[in-house]
Amino acid sequence: MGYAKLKKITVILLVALVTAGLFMTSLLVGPADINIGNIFDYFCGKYNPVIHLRFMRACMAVISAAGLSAAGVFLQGLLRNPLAGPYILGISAGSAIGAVGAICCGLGTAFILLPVPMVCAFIGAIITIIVVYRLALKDGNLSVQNLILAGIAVNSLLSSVLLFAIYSSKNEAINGIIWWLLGSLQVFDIRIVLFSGGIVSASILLAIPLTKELNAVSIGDDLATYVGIKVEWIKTIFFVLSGIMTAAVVSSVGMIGFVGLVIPHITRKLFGPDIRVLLPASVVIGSGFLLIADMLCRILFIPAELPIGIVTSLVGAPFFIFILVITRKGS
Amino acid sequence: MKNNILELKDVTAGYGSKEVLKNISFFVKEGSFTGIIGPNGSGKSTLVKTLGNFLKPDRGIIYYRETDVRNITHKEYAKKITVVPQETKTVFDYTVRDFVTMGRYPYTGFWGTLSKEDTKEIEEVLFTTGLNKCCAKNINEMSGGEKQMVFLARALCQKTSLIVLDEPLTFLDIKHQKIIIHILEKFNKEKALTVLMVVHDINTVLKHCTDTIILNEGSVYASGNTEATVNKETIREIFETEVEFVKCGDKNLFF
Repeated sequence: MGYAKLKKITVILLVALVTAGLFMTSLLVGPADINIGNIFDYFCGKYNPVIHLRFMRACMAVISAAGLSAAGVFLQGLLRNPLAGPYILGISAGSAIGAVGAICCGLGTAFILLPVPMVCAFIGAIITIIVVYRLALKDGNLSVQNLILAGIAVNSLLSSVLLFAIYSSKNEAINGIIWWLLGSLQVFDIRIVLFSGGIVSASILLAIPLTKELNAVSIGDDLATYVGIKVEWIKTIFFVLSGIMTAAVVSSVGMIGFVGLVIPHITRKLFGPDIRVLLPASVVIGSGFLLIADMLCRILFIPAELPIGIVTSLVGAPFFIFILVITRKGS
Repeated sequence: MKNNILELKDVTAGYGSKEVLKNISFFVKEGSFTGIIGPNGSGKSTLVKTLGNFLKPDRGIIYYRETDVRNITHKEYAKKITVVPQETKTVFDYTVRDFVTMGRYPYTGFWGTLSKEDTKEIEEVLFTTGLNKCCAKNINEMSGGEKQMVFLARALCQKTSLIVLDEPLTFLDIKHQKIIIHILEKFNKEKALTVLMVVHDINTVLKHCTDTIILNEGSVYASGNTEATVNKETIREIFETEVEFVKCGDKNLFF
């Protein structure tokens, strides 16, 4: 193993360690006083509602960041476009329509195994994935350009439907809708954590053995074919995995911007374009980032809480600019 | 025939309903240095894509050493035939080494971990192509000539017995043209690599290619020994222009 690779792996492990630290810290942060002793007791089996809520929240931060960052890495590689992200394919809008539809129908608080708006959001996202995929097929092959165009078209269409739904719904529904659109990592049922966590981790585990193939596809369909990659197969797998992960995350915590687009981008600047490195690096960096953003949500305006969607961009954009500046200097 | 590495029988290929190659048949001799010439739009690039397994023929059969290529898996195919495409834009900033390493993908396992043999092969190719001096360089910061060399190195790492190149010399200065031809001739002679190369410059064909295939309007106009196929009459017929041939050493060149 080369020195450069060893260095990258060490850095990723260090970031993972820091992220684990942030995870524990996030259990301490918030309006209610919790100390390390309480956390220790909690993990030993002594139930504490505040820590339980914070624990689920921290889990959702890691799951969402992992899902969105991984989807971003896959789609940017697949579409050979560093500006692609999980939301470009209209998946978020599709799931928003599902959730908003449920809220507008008065099912905002209904529950069948999982919250009904969440189930509807997931179904909405899956339908959107299928529609975009079908639209992007050209002579039976998945065309990268068509995929982006189909995504943009479907996204615009669904966004206008969404705006219409907001325009025509009653006041009490609007609050629910807005809260959902802005996103919140706070979930109240461990089943949501298990559902989204299961989907995200299964997708990432499935993707890991195929990252080598995605590397080849990120250079060009023809060049990938010439080194023996079944390009259509790989493109379909990664498209579907990205779609399902985004659907699981967005239906659980709403739309959290910035992470899926910019975390893979920042990570590529720091670690290079090899997806085998980029995937774990994006997951740990994204998780750390979202844990920090979530803690800020809780402490900036105590006791009020900011929606996570606002803070991710507020903190993320300057950080992104900082990365752009330092990498431009070549340091 | 036994000593043909590649044989096409009535191959028709194209894009959607548009047929570009129409019922073409030809063969490439084992160990030959074959040139493909033809006017713009004659189907040269489509032929390259078809030979690279990127474009599936609508009809007809391609044989690799008497095996129908439809019976060869993608991975096995990439160990037998490889393609160096025309200058391609790359989006992501891969280093020369990482890019060339991808040539070993048909040989590596799941994660793409390199064996000792893979590493040896890569080092050898990097050395032969002179890229060992700029392994860590970003391919997007390289000149056209250097980048072409990286694409060639990646294909050579695949250790195939046939390499197909689509106009590898077009945007290169004379120095880089000579280097690429020199490397191809070296692999052709020392490693029995059969070279099939689309070229625009007919003098390159006359000087370096043992055999030539002339394409015109999606069909094979002529194929065989270069001296027999490329002459004043065929050039006039295909390119609709008059040329003069002159003797230069033991070769005919035209101007």
